[in-house]
Amino acid sequence: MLHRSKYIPSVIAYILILALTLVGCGTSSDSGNTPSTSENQNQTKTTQETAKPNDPPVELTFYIANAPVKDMDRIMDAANKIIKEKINATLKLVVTDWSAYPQKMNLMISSGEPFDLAFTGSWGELNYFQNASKGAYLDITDLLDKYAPVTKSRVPESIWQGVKVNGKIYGSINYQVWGMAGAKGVQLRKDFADKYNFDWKSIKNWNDLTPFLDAVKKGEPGIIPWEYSNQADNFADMPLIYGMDSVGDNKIPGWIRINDKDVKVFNQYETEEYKDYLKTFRNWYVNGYIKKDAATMKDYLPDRKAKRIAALYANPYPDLVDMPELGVQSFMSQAPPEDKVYSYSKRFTEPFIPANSPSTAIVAVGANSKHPEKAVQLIELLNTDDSLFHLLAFGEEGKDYKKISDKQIEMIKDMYNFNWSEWEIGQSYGRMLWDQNANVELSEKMLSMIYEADKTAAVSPVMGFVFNSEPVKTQIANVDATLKEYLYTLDSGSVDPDKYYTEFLNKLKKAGADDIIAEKQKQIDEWKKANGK
Amino acid sequence: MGQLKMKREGLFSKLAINLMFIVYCAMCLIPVLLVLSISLTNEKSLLTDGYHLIPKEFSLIGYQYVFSGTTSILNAYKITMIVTAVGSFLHLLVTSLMSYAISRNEVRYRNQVSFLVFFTILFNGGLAPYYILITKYLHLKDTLLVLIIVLLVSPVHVLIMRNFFKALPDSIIESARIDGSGEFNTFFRIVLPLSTPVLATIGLFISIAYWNDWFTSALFIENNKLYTLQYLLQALMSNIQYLLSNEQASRAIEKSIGMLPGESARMAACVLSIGPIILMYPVLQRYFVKGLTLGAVKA
Amino acid sequence: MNNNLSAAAAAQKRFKKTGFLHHRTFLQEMVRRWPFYLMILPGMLYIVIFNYLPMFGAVIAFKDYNPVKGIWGSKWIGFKNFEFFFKSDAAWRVTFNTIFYNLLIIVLVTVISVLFAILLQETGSRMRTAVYKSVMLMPFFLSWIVGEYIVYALLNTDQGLVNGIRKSLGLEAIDWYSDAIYWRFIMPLAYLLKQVGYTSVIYVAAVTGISSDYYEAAEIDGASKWQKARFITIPLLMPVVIILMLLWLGKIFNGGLGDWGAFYNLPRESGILFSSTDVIDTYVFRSLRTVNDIGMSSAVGLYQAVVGLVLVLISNYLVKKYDSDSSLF
Repeated sequence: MLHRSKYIPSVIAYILILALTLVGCGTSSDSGNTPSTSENQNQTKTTQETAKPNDPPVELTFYIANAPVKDMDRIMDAANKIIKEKINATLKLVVTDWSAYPQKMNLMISSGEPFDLAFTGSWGELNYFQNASKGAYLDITDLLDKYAPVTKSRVPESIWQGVKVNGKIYGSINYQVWGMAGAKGVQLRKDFADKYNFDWKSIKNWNDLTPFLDAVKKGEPGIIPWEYSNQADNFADMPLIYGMDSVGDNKIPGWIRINDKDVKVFNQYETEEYKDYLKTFRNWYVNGYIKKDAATMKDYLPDRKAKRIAALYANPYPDLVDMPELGVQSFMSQAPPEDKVYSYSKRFTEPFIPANSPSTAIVAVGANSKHPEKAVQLIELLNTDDSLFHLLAFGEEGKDYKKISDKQIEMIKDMYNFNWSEWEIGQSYGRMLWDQNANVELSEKMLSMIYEADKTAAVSPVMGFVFNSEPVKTQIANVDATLKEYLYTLDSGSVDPDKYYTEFLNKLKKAGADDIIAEKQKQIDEWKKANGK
Repeated sequence: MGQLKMKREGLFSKLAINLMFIVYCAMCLIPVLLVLSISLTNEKSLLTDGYHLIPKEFSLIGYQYVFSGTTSILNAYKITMIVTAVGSFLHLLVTSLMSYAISRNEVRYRNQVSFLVFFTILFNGGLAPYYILITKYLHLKDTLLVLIIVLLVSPVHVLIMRNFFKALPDSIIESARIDGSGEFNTFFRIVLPLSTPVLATIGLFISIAYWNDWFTSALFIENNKLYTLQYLLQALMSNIQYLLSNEQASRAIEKSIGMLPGESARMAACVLSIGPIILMYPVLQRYFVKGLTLGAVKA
Repeated sequence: MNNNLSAAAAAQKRFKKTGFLHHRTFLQEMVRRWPFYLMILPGMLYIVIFNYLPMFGAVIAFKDYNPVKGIWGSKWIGFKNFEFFFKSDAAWRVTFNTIFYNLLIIVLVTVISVLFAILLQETGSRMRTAVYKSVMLMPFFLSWIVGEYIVYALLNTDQGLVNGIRKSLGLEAIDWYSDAIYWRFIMPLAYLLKQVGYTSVIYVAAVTGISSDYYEAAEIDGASKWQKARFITIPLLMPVVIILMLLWLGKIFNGGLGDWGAFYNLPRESGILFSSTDVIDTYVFRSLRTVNDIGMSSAVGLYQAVVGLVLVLISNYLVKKYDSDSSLF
């Protein structure tokens, strides 16, 4: 007896562990622990029974990238009152940290996990085009016309072309506050430009800047004349400056010229423009206009915040020539506002819509969504119902923000804050609420100019063409590795192009750059034929 | 004379040993102090003066930002502590049972089992099938359990622990068996108390792993009441990066709280996440000593 | 006891040629040693479910993976996913770097950790030992992302602490981030600083686990501290040393026992440094940035695992020959 009782504690402990290791398997049969499946069953039922007015509202899941938001539950309750009343649905907004969001969405798609709406785009690892062509998202071409006519009509038809895959639309464009048309140019510190009598209004390319940078270098110790950042490479990330546009990813070889009717694809690293660029930037680097460790600068913010930058690349449209009155609020990028570091901005190019800009921010409907109609209705609601949009973006008036004028608000500290991520869910057109720093009149004038440009600006000749990289992905992988090794050191001027340029080109060729270019050309020719261009 | 000489030599070597450890520890402390110092420095001073081991301009704004910027950090501490405590306990239990069994020579398939365990260290199917298993078949998404279960068994720990059990004198186990003690009884009453050093070590490692795990939360947790501390801090850090690069956002923030604490908040988050585990270490240390004395008494 | 064993052995011999014998002895073994197999069960169950079931996903390496069609629905494409790595001219360089750093780090970490574990017993105060041990472990808690900031704080050209000291000594500032040769030393050093504390803790546990009887007996024989370390501590530590090295060897091509985060983060992706900082994992990570193809990354993973397995099988065989108790399996 005594002997046996010794066993008991260990036997209990053992059963406990065994039970715990098995819990995982156990829950699969226990529907109580799996709200998602049971709810989905409910939901299927409701749609089958054709919506009666007192049907229970369906729940729509919407995945976006954002940090956890304080007081989210309170705002969602308020938002759901509106959504329920308007379309008899509720919204479950799931936020995932930026550093894990793309991976999480790709995994959800891989596992066929249903979702109703998700934020996506064609940059980073978001893979809108790949996922759309593989069937991860629902074709909403017809649903948009039927359930989201206002959202559809507000975006110019030419821009819808930019999100089509095989002629079908797989996501609703979040037509951004900043518009699609953009121009590339520079921003200079006003005090320096004035001091050295620099004629900033007439600059049209990098070389025109050299006298200014030289004056700053000689006269302003401790100031970095030009900011080179590998986050926005001055050649590879801005084809427009050279009158070109990229096909697919910016850096991968194979660009086109924007005025080329034949749409011929070529290697941008073999052009005269690139050779000139290298000459200029090497000269800048040697003369000390560019920081010594520019090639490895991952984070440009500290220098900008410390007001150490005299000139940098910018997207100024409209610039100070187009709209001189902007001068009163044109500060150097990221410089502390209280220091009032004024700047001049000047664009090098005309406004233009590159092929990849419409797909910057997209809301897609999941292929496995049980309620695609409701999901598209929600898209329409988020883009047209200003009170709902403002609620999600800024919270409740009086609690989370104060209205300081008709169209301007001030956020209240430590309350609900959507982290300025509202651009992922849609847009309010009617009464955009500006924060307290903005000059409402100027900002609205600027916006109307951009919207106008979106209708008139030149559009990329390959707008609507989607490059399928599958056939040459081996080459792309190898080219990509080569690019990372050479591109930034060459483009920042850190190494002598006479020595490294040929080596770089040879390695690109060896890695398969020509195959990629040929494949791009082949697909573009097919696309042109199919679209009668 | 000889006695004295030996003593002096002993003193000298002791001095040399201590000196070496002090130098090495100083090297280890520099990065930690740098993190601490950055977390306590005014953001503006970081931009103009660079990093220093002693803050040039002291400020707590990094910590303030971490505590005010996000959802309930206290709840996240609670979740993380539950997961770490329960997870580490179960991990130790399952691991020690398994590794004890495969450490015994009378278990014929011990090498086959060891190989099966080892094989999983090398080969895995990648994230996608794992995600499918957890969400589609086990339905563990959005549960507290998933946070515990992902780290429940570590093949590396099983094999390390097995070696420690192998080193135990066979005679102790044999004599227990002769006294009529069952295998489970021997394990819990005799083997485990003798193994506190290894239990404390593996326990330390696994609790660090549970404590630091943010990716499980990111992939499988959608309910904001189940967020773990590390996930919140990770999200906070990438959010700072996002806000900093968003001109409109950082201007609005600057208006209300001054310059957005980028570096300092990032380092404050780092201090807040590793602080508790560093403080926990001496507690585990005490187990070491206790295990030692216990072992001495038994032996 | 012994009788039972030899009887079983005899039975085994007798039935060696009959096919169903294996099954029968398996059952016999299960029945005879049931408490041990019961102990193995929970862990084994876990490993089968959470490690072996998803392992079928490794077939992705041979497939043109399409997330919508799923793993089984995707098309088989043979070894096509392996091409990009083996055809690239960087394959040799990164393979060399991977082996170079791993061997260097394995040897250095092991020697230093064992030395520390022994010397930690000789500080003359339990308190001091505890303090040293805690401090040594601290760098282990810092992630490589934080590490990147720290190294940058120390080494950046204009405001780095190291160059600050050099300037105050009248020396010229060094541009650390554009000369690859420095990184042959910086990388192992950073890795050591982070890893040694952790490994030492394992060895300390092993040292404290050594019965004090051995040392007492040695003391009676008049053994010096050095002799005790040489003839007692080190031999008794050997099994742990071997197991840790074997485990490390298995992952030599796949991150080592630590992780390759250091190689990705610390050099700040500086292209000039790649000749000395690029290892297989960083190279693959970089090549797949735009292609983002699971099939290609798992192909490289599979290759790394197979090489690791071969290495371990060979070394395990050698270990078994000399000291069967220390082998992995």
